[in-house]
Amino acid sequence: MNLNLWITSLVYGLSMSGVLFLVSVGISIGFGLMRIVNMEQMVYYTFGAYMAYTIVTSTGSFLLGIIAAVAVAAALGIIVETQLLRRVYSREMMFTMVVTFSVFLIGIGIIQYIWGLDPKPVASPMETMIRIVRVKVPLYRLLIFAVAILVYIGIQLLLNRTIMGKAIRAGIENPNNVQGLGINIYKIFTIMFVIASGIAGLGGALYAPLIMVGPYMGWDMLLFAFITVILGGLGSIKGTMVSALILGQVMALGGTLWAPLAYIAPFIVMFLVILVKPTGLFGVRGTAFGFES
Amino acid sequence: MNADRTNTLLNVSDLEVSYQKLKVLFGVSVYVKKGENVVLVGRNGAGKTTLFRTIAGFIKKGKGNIVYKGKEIDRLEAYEVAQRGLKYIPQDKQVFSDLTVRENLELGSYATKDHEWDTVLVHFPKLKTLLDRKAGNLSGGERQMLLITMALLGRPELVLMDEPTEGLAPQLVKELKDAFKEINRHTTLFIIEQNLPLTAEVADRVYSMKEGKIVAETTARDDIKEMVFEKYL
Amino acid sequence: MNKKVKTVLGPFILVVLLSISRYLFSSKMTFITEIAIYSLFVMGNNILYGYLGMVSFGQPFYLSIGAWTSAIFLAYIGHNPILAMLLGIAGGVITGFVLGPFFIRLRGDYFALINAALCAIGVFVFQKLLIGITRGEDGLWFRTQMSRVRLLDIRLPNNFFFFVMIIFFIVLVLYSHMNNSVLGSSFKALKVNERKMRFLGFDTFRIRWIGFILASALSSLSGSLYALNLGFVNPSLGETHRAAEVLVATLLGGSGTVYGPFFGALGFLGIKDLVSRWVTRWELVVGVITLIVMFRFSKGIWGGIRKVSLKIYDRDERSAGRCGRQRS
Repeated sequence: MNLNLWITSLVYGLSMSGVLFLVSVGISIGFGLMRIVNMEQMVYYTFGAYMAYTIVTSTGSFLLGIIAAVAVAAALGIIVETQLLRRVYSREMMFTMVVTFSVFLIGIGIIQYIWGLDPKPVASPMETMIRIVRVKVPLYRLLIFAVAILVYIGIQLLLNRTIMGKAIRAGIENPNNVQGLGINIYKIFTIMFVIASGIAGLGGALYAPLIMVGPYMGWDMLLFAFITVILGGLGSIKGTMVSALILGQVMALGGTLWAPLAYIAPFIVMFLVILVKPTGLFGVRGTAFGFES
Repeated sequence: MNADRTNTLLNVSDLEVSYQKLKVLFGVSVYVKKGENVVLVGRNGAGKTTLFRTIAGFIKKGKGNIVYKGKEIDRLEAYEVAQRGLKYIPQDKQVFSDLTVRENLELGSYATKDHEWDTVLVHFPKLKTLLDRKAGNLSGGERQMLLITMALLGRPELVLMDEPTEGLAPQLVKELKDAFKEINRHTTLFIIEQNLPLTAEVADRVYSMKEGKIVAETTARDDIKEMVFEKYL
Repeated sequence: MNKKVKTVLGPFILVVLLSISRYLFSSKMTFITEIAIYSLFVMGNNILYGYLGMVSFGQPFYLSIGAWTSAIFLAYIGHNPILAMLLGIAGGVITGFVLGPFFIRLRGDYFALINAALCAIGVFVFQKLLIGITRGEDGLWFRTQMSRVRLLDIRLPNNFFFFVMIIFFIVLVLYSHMNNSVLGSSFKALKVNERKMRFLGFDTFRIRWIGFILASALSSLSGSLYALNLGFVNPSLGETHRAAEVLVATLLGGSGTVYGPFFGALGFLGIKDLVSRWVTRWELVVGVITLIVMFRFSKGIWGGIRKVSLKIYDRDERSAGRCGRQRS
């Protein structure tokens, strides 16, 4: 393999890592803080991509598309969290898993109703190519990765520098004790949930120009996102970032070697990781309802 | 049981609680008066912790009611109960181990808007030297001190403690006992305790629980000793 | 009523009713066949979800093991469809036996997801890696390879219907027997409190393993029958999407019961059949129904039927002047 291919693959992998991080950070937070397996994150991702499609097609502005995507995804997040998930936090994990999965299905149904079944293309926001060691690579892919890094830094600052973030970290460890102090953990859940769904929407909007936007785009991404979260360890944002980096490269390299491998390689990685080390790379300690410790 | 009820801070009447179909509390009635130090004894599985967790809002009751400072609190969320000045310190001695002692206290302050640490740290001056230590690295006794200190932020009127001395060295137990007496001057305490000599020494009143019911209640000092040893053992 | 009689009588009544309805609605025969086959799949998932309390997002994998084993046997090796079916079941048992020890020690969420991964890998293997054998997307056709079996030529749809009914009856009897046996009780006890079971001296690992193997065997039996019914298999049979469907069907019918899976299959396929007439896609409807079932009817259709019939039964007893109810 020549240098050209390697660098192209690296950049492709970085953009994939960016998207994976953005869509799975919400699942990681859900696992860690609310102790739920929130499969419906992919609804926000898909809605984000469709909002990008609608706004870019009608106004031509990608930036507006992204803003709309984040806003709509966050709004959906508020609705789902306050109207539905709040009722199921204390139920066992199986229950929440099936409930969030139903929300995911309903989301797909609504998307089909609004936008139909046909895949939609989203115009590329920039065609700029930049050179890395004589190899031309698309700038946009690198930008996706940069955005993901910014989001990562933002979340880390929130968690480590603000009192709210400390409450969240405490909540990840023991939600009951946070309540016992007199902190309204549900308010914290809602805030984090909205942030998470907004980020998933952002991921969908950023990814949209690189793929065809379709109602089922959440299916595969759902599994990829879970692989990312599991590889990184429950509730660990840092772990999610690291595993997104690894998986992005695994997908890119796999795809470079043999196209079908891009899709299946992450599953094989996940399969092996769960079998060998079921706590992931950066598992955080924590006790709560729903999990046998 | 209908003794002098003036100044009743907490009044639990005919409380029934079930886990799914399994009933664990069968019409429990207890009360705590302002300034008292009430101790609850009973074997493992008698329903003591369930009673405390229900009062604190972590478990939803089946029947009966819980009145705190003249208002029903049995429909409130746990954090609302805490905000009204009824704190609960669980048995597991779990501090937020990922945060430092200082950050733990900051959370307590954030929840209660009470930032005067000096008045609560006075009971356990040792903690002042440990402020930058990760709470996960504290000893069992230090954790318990931190938990009590955090609970005292916001000047709660009633603190429920679930086996605070369990698993601690005798020296620490003595230290805590003195602290309880000190704290009891301005705060009402309701404690689950397995340590019988300690119970006999600190309690103003003792309830004994068995199989989800209150089976005895006594106030006289000698009775406490007697009851503790006879009925409980 | 004697328990042994009941174990056989219930399945018998159900199968007779199905056979009668096959003549009442003769145009719906293939639909009834499919319901019975799908019931077996749901019954497998019901052992995991309803009895053991484990969610799996990869049941279609076990379905496709059975389907592909039968299909490959019929397309390349032999001609006897019944042998093909038995091989399909064997494939499921072996899969469960081998994967079990690795999977069942995992925590609930990981168990669900490793099955999803397995499912995706399975589709990949059958679609891409083994394309030489499985013909990939085109599917493997073998209807012409199937030979006549003595007594019942199951190549004819009508005979196949009765063949499925016989299998369904046998499996239902065994399932009902399992439900009433120590095994069924230990499954349920395990779901409620594993630690306590272990303290009581039960080998919880082995109980769970047995359950896992049974689930896998039932799924692959269902897969085999699907293959025999259609005369071909293609990789879409094992798609992850279907994992959702079987979970929904399990919930809909009433999880953790003997007859729940049948009503789940009936309800789910029925709804899908009806819905597809006026909506092209089923996701919205299935999602809404699942939510309603989860929050309002946690006992499912069969639970509902039982509740109503128990009420009637009670009233009869009271009017007969007897006191002391007996329920079994």
